[in-house]
Amino acid sequence: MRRTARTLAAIASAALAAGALAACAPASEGPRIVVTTNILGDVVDALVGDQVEVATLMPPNSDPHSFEISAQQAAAMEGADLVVANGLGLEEGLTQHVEAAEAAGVPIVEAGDAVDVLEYATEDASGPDPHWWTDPTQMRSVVDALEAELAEHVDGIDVAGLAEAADAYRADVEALDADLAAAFETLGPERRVLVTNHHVFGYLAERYDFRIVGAVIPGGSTLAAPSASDLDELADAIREAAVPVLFAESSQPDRLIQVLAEEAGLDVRVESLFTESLTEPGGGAATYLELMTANGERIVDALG
Amino acid sequence: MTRSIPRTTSRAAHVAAVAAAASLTLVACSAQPPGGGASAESTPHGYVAGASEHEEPQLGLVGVGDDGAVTMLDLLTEESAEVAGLAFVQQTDADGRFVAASTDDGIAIVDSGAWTVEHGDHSHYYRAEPRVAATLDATGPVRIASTETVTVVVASGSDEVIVLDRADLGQGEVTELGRIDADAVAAIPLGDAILLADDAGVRLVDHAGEKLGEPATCTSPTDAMTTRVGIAVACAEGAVLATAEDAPLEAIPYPAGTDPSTIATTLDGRPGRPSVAAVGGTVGFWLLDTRERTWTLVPTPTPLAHVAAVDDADGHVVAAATDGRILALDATGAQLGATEPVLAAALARGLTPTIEVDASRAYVPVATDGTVLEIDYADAARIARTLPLAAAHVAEVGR
Repeated sequence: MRRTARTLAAIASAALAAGALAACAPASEGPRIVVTTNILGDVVDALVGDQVEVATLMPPNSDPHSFEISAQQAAAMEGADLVVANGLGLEEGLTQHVEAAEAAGVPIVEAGDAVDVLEYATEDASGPDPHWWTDPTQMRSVVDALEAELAEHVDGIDVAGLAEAADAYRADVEALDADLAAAFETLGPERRVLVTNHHVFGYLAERYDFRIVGAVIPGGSTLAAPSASDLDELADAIREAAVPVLFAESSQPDRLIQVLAEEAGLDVRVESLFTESLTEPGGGAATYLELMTANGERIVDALG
Repeated sequence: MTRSIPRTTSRAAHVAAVAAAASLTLVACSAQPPGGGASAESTPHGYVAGASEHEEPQLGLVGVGDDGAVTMLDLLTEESAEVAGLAFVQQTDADGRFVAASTDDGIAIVDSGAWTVEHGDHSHYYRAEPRVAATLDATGPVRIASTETVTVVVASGSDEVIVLDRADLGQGEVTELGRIDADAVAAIPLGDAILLADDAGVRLVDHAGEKLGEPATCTSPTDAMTTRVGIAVACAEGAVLATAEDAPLEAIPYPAGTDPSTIATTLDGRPGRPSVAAVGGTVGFWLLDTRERTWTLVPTPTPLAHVAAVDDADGHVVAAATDGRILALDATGAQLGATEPVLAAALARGLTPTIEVDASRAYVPVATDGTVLEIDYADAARIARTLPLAAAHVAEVGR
């Protein structure tokens, strides 16, 4: 169905292009490249530099599954030379806009197509895991694909400059991978365990030989008046993992630590990790490289 | 986890199509205004204007009084807020977010503003301001059920089934996608179809009421509920299960020799699980496992007035006994714990107990003293909290 849509889009764009030749507005009137997620936006920025305007739709500190865009941003997608998306079902809220851009003849590159995709499976659902960026070697494949697609679709781009930037970024990503591998190696196999309620670290675990122990974090209504039975499952997971760290999103981490101590006799720390979004500058994960480095440091610091 | 085969086929097709598009869009250029970055118009959180996204389910109880007073009790903070004053209320039903009330002035739909959206391996938890979302010109008793996109309201008093756009309802707007004349016991959306149960049986229909596929026999349907597997309807001969809009309806008959006095008349359980429970006459309770397609009659030491399946790893079941005690049971009927007979006064007044179940607690209104008991079913029916909420009708939202 996607293939059919793309073919139709290509035919449609032929008609559009023929008609648009004479009425071409200057490129400076809108972003030439529109990127959905801020992680990919950072990487595309690194590749094209100041050559062309890149618009990233997903604001810092937001959720790629559910952010929305303005009508103006949607229009910008349809006017771009290239739309870069994560794909694999990540940007749920943007599907219709990506399809509209595609129907308007805009080439779409999905990072997921360049990734060696992992499948997730829970009791009730399964599918491709879209959180590939937690493995830098997957990012390297995506950079390769982006370099080719940018050169092909962004009219007038300086291909030599692009190649130079891509080489530099690949070197950065390879260095990141080597640094993470060396740092995680120091933990030893028995400490490479993430007890977590995050759902994004499957690729990281696959790359660096971590074991992921899924944890259900008791919510506020449970923590209000808990007993030992409320902590059984989580306490068992922590004991089984034999590491004193919970990598978790909790609205009340201090209360969780207190309750685990009181009801289950466990002395744990609760650490948060950066997951699906960059932060503002100064927020600790303003770039992809900073996000991954920060997570690596937090994991090694907590488990080491 | 298993590493999948790289998707070379679709990749190749993708590249070919993109290349074709590219050669034709060399001149493509933009007459659109710039839209870079996070503009003030973009809403960084959530699908819904005015909603915020949170790290955990925004659990709450919506209480509706006979006098029409609607109160929202936040289960995380224990704060209460008055939401609205409706006309005199006879009865209510809820779908986990919206609470429909049958009132003297029609059917009111209250948006609790607390809901969960499942997305494969994780969920999204939303919170918005509670408010009255709609008032429908129809007569109750009312039932309400929803998918992500469609909300279906049964107005039994006016023999109508009203199909609404759920996204619009969440914005306080009423967009009727269809109105079906039917004396329905239940009508529940399933994909683009609606499962309709009435005296003629069970069938899938479209939004206009046109029949889709073959109907199933169902004598005297009494209740229906969405499970993880599909929609189950309680009938005299057993259950009818609808799993998809294009799948045939399945029958799950009662075991041979079932005493007709024990058959299920209400189905109740934790939303999103495969199993639901029903009172089995004076014998005990039924467990209907829609994944296994089985009914199991589980005897209990005490007859039950109402029962709800938790369907957790330990097979917990929460019940209100006819003697007024709230029981924590397991799937074999063994009693794991019980409260004092806290519901005795309500039962003596002829009130039917209700039980709302989530992943860690059950909520049981004590209709006679203005409280709701928070039951820790995994800890021998311990009363974790006694929550102040004086309302004739109570629904849990945000699950």
